Amino acid sequence: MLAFSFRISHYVQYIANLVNVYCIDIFQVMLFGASDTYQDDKIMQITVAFNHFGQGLIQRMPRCRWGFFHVLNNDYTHWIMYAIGGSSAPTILSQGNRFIAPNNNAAKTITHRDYAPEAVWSKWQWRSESDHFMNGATFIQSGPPIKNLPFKKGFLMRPRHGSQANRLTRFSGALNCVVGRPC
Amino acid sequence: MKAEGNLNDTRRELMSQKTRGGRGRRGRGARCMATNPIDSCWRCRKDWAQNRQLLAKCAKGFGRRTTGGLGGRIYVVTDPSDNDMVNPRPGTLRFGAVQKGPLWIIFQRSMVITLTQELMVSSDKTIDGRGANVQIREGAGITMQFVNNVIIHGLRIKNIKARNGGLIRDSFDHIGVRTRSDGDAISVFGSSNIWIDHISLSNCEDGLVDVIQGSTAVTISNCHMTKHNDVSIIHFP
Repeated sequence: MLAFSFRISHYVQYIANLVNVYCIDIFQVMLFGASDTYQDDKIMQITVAFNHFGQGLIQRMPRCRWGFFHVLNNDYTHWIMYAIGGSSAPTILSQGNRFIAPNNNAAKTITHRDYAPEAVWSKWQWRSESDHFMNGATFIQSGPPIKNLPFKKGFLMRPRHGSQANRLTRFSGALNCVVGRPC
Repeated sequence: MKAEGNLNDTRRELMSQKTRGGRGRRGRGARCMATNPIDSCWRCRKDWAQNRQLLAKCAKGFGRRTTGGLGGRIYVVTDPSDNDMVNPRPGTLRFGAVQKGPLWIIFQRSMVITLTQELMVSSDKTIDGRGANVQIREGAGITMQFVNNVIIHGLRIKNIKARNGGLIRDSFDHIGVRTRSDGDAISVFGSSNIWIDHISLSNCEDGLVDVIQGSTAVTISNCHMTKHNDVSIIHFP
């Protein structure tokens, strides 16, 4: 218990809800930018599309810093603490994802912001468009809508509505292709 | 070809339930079922195996300019071993990953590869696991450091562990000393134009995908991520 308590100190409310916790490791699913002082990561532009975030994942799907992150049409069926997190003013455009919150009432919030008071993070652009929320999942938006993209529009994939995320991600993971047949 | 140890277990389980939208691909005769625009770019072609490099035109999003080993030779991995970090043996995955110029790496058969140290992938490569059940597990992960233009497709990566590092060849004409690796499945460091597609990822020691140190133009698509850990048992009331 001691080993993880300092890093999850602000998750005390979650811990209160956890029964039979033998071990939680701070496990990162996707980490985009590792440092809050490395400003060169501002050039980071990453698309996360059609992925299925499945069982046993705790947090950081993804954990973002500095750059521009387009998270679209992913299927979040399980998470334990939060789904999308970040610090150092990243821009996050979440479009057409399906978020199914866990039953734990303390973990219904999809988003998680680190190391900044609300006065600061309220200026970060974290926007949700056409996402599909289930089981009480809530996406806390901040900042103005994302316009004036610093790159050509073609780099943004066109999202479908979040209610289709299940179908769009149905064949996530390695496929069993057979030579000579459509895959 | 039938997958043996399957990392997609939960997915398959879920697929059989009503909530996952019913039928998936069952058995050999199933027809093509591309359900998203990246997949429909290549999956429905009968001759995908003859024209593997068509995949290079299918990237979308920020990594859309990624072409990987397009225009290069096809290199077939025949040997799952990974013993020599400095002068990898021809036929191994590591040998292909550090060749000069574009190279399209495929696998002769299904295999389990346990990497002794991080696999350093050099620029202009595609690692294409289609047509075989390729599992990278119980060893080190895949690292792209200061490279450009890499596609990683169709692998199952599981139980990746930290390794101590040491002398590792990171490109055709350079051998570098690597410090201890973190135990990430895929780590992208100072690199651009990277496309990670159809990868099953689970249970790695540190994380599944890290993109750090000024990396940009990255697309991560169609991946399935889970963590089934027998040690971490978490029950909610």
